Amino acid sequence: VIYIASTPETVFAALTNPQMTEQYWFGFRIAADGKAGSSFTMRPPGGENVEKGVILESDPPRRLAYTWYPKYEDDKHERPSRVAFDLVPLKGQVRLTIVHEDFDEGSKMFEGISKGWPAVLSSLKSFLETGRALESSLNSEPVTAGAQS
Amino acid sequence: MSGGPQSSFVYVTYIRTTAEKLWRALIEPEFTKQFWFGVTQDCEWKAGAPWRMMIPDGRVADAGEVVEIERIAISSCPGAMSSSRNCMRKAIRG
Repeated sequence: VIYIASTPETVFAALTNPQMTEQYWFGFRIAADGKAGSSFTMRPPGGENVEKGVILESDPPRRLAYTWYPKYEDDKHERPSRVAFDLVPLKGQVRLTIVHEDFDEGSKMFEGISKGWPAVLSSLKSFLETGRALESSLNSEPVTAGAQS
Repeated sequence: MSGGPQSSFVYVTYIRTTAEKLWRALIEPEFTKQFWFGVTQDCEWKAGAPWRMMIPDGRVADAGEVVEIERIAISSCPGAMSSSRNCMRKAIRG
């Protein structure tokens, strides 16, 4: 859960629009602006666009849910997990709740996202509130932001 | 802390600041009340010291004692992004 001084529309756009994600998600372009049933894609910095999952629910600017495919060498045998975002406007702020679930037992992907989401969401908050995202902690921590799956 | 997973809450956030400033933000009453919805803490900030958390009307909302306090000289904290988990520790038992 994170509170952001912004509007649900802006936060929703920031989660789904590749031009916006690129600015705070440490260079990753995430395109999740389609309707339920369409795929969502992720392009790492300097990399290729990959299909990262399927949009399960899209109800802008309140709720977004998608599946999350494992794509890395150490987790690609795992089953897809599921991410849901809920946006609630409160007094000129947005309460953003993220639930990422349905992992295999002992999942590597779970380890990755447990480190990734706090960094991505902190950067999102800084970006929307100050206009400046955080820098990647790639050099100071073993796993960075959303990079692990 | 014991008692199974339900008794432990872990939240990690990254803040573009210095560890020194973040430390002051967690401790100094003039600082805490600006972001902690008016809350101030009454404490000497040393191990074993009583700790009280006051809401703006002066009532004590919570109390405990300092279990662990460790100020770390932080020039070694890498990168522009400091994590409170990596750079400093403060623990209060309520």
